[in-house]
Amino acid sequence: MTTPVKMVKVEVDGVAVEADSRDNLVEAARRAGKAIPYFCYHPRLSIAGQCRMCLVETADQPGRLQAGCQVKVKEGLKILTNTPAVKENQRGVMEFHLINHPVDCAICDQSGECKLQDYYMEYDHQPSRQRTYKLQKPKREELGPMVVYDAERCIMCTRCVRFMDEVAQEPQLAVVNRGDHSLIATFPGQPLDSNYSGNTVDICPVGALLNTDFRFKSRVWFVEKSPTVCNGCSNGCNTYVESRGTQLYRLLPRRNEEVNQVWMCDEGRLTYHETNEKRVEWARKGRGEAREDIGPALALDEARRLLAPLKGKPGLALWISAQCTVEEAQGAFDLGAQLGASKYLLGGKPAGKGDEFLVRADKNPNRRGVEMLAQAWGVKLEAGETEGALNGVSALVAARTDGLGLHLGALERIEAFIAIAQNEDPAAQLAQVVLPVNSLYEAGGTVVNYYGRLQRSWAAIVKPRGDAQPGWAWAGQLAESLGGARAVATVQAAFASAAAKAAPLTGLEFDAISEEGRVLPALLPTEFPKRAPRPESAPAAQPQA
Amino acid sequence: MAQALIDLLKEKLPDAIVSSHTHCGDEVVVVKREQLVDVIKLLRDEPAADLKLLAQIACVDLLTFATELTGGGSIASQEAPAYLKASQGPREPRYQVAYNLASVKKKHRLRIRVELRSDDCKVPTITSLYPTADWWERYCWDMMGIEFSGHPNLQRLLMYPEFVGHPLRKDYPIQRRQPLVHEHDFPDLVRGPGPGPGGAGVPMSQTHVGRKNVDPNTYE
Amino acid sequence: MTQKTQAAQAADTAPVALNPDPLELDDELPSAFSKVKLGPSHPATHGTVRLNMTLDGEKIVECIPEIGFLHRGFSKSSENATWHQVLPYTDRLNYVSPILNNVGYILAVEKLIGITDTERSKYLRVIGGEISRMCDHLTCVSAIGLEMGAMSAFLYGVEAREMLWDRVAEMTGARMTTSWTRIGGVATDTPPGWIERVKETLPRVLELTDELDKLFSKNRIFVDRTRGIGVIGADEAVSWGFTGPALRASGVDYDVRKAHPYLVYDRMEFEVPVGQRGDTFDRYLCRLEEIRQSARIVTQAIEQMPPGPIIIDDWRYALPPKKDVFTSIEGVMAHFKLIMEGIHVPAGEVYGFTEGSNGELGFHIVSNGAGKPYMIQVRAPGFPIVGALPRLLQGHSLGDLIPIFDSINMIGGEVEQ
Repeated sequence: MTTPVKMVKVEVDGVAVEADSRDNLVEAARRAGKAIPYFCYHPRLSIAGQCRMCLVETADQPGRLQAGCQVKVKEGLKILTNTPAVKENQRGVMEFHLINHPVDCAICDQSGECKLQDYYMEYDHQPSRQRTYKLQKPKREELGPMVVYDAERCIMCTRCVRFMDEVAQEPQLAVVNRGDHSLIATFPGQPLDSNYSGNTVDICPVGALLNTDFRFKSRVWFVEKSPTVCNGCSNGCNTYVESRGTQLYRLLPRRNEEVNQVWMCDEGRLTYHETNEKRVEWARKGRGEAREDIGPALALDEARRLLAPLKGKPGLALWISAQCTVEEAQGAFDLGAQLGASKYLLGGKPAGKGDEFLVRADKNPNRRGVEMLAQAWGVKLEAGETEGALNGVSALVAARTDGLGLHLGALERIEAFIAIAQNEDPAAQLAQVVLPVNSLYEAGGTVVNYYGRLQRSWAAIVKPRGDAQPGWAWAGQLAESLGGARAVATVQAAFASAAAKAAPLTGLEFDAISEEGRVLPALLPTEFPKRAPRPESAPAAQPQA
Repeated sequence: MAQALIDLLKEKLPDAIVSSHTHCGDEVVVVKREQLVDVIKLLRDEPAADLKLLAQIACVDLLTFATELTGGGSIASQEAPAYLKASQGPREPRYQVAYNLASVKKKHRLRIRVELRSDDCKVPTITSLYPTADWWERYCWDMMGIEFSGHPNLQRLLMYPEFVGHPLRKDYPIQRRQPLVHEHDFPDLVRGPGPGPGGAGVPMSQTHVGRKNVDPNTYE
Repeated sequence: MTQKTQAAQAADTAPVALNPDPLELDDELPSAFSKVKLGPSHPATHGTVRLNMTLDGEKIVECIPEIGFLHRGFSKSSENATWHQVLPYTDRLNYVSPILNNVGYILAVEKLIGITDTERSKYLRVIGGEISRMCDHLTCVSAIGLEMGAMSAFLYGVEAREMLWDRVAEMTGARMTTSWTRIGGVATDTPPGWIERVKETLPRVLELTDELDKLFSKNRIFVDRTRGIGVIGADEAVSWGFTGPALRASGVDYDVRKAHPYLVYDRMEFEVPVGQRGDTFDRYLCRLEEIRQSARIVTQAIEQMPPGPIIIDDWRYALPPKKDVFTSIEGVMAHFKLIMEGIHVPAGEVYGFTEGSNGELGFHIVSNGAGKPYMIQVRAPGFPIVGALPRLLQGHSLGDLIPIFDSINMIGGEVEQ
């Protein structure tokens, strides 16, 4: 499909390197391991050439500074990034950018990940020569539900405007006013309510656009980043979750060229709240007034006491949410086989709106994975959202309680309802035994997205939250107490047992799954969502800015 | 001025040298491990070199040299996260042993460096050349697990004998706990042997008058 | 006394022998060696060290020092702190002369970065360092006497030390935990009136030093207990890694301040006392004389010190003045990055060494370009000397152990880090 790319030989500071002929000087220098600083350039957006920070010299025009983001390479070009003229320009550009910049580092969220700070220490580190006052502009303007704008900090790089125009394709931002009174603004009466507005916060190089949800929650150097996969919909955007102790603070997109490039939607950014709030913390038994926290061992005993007499009898159903990871689903199916469950129901969050970019209508990350395992176990999965799905069910084991909210009436009548639940939702309130489960962000696991791509999430939080355990651990312990095989102890072993069962996973090892994930050819979808044609972008080898 | 020492080495033992460089005023010569003793013997005995003072034997673990994150004020950036370490193979050669040699008469210095792989961290001892190397090599063994073959007494120096691991290695996390060491019983020299409080066989924690009925697991 | 028969008198005076062979009388009584552990907490040893001794009566057959009781993980802790956050750890290395540790560490880091500090800061570092050295030597000299029973002489030394510590506290803010140097300079300048107070303190300290000299150097007991005790020759001392007063007492004229001058020592006139015999007495005398030479250096440095800034004006290394931090974005950004991320020291390896009070204090520093050290290993001057303790104690008796041990001035903090 693609024509072969033409490569040219260039030299960067004396280092010879082969560059793509479509590269600009910044990308060519990146191939050589040299960093040319920039603010307004972004590899995935159109060129603005506004900040003037990337100016470098080329040997064919000595003394003339050329914008590294605009000029394309040609055969035999010699790029010089550390001549005195370049260094003086970098220092001077930093000085200009900082003239009206407010003294906000102490209260600005971007501290610690701010390009102005980094480039200042690297290229400028001079005291201010300014003897006059700084301009005052609007601060903390709410541009939209997720984004707050501080005009004084803005360096007018226009990355946000270009992003909304080109990538999100909802042109909700624009530059207004002239000169040093310029601002970024939305159109009157039309807030920045795009589902992708959070990405403008990511690409803003300074603290002008900030995430309202994360604002003032934590300093960025206190949190640890772990790679994970968003569980908001079946697109499975790759993310980083930032955590400290047992709390999660935010989700950032992680680069995966094939799934989400470097973007994610706003709904996905908010999914970490479910891991933080309204969690079931302690293993308990009893419903309503009789509720009692009894700890994991006793809770398992109680569950066994309730389930053992019902083994193999009709009316014993297993509810598996499409939010479960592959390992959790494998544990659940194994438990179901141990129990001789007669009915298997596929639950999950209700469907929502999808779009042509990153958002899928199916708001569960692992429907394909659960269906794959159901097929491997030879089990028929019934849809959990149909009314009357729980008719005739007298005992229910739920691996995650998503979607059970539709059947609260039926749940009240069930006398043996064991829930492996993450949050305190109405369904979990009705369970006889509740076993608290780790969320996808806390424990590691794999999920299969709508495209059939198996992706891995690394455990972010290692401190246990109350009695919470991974779902496969609960299912395994429950199965073991009912007479099954010894429960697996690690997520690697849990995945291995899934790989032993499901044909698409044969031969795969948990630790060998890379950060990009892998597509399972057997699970490729037969119909694809319609997408608008995307703008031509530079080759996939370009890293995230 | 230590360039003369490097030239001397190049002249007398050219195949022992792997590379040499100067950095911040220090001259460093990287030598092959097998010829380490010959090199140092030459540098000690040759009158032009006279490097008779072994100032230090330092050991470096380069495991996280490329990935150790910047910043010390934050809690998070202490170690490279596990997924990052797993995606990059171990850096080889992993260990470097540096011998800082000096001459009190000629006032020049030289550093000799040996590079070791993680699966083969053995170096010949130089205790036969410098008696002070005894303790320096024991320190390197204790802290980083580098074996010095031929050392007369390669035991832990700073850590207690029941300590598990080599603490200065980069994969030894700072929060790691050690197994508790039980209290060594030794006879009460004051009260002598015999049954009853203070007698032999009773742990010292029980021998203090007044502690007869105290649960030894309390911290009071 | 009753009269006895001549035979009985002869029987009285005849020697009683188990074996009639007269030569066997001179044999020593067969007895087992006793194993005694001295320490780790012993009132007469400096620092926590256990000496596992095998004694034949009073004679030391074998002595194995066991160290590690004060090991606090300096190297590992410094790998998790920024370059400046390591400074308080260095105070606690040789805790009797903390400024010398600060200076030694910062000079090694500056060597790796490739910068020097300001003129005034160089003089200040010399002044602070020499005052610290005087404190250390006063401690050691007084303690040699104290542990041999001369407590009042110890108090003279301590009085001198207190006065010096008062000066140090006035300038740095603390007596021991000074953390005074910074990359590119020092933290605080001399307070008003400090120079005058130092000029008053030094003569009094020298008077007290002379008192110590008079009390010890010609004291019969002191000389008997230290002369010819713990002798080590020059070549052997070098091969055992000795540096500092212990080495100079053996007759080797090696002082880092003269051999590889740093800061402004090349502009100072001072002598390096060198001993002759390499015994405990010479080690004591070298330290005593060094107190006088240090006072000389301080006096000269005070005269020569120029006015000016005490830290370089480069915001990559030195914190900006608070006025700039609170009013300009450049200042707050520089302050921010320096504190949170640490100073970026270019990647590389260096061995920076200075003359600590016990000898060559070296820091082997490796940086990978980050804001915190990749590895720091201290070359403590006391470390090889304590390792040579078995050699020094060879053939001596238990009573010689204490003077020998005190004369090498083992400071647990630096030896065990």
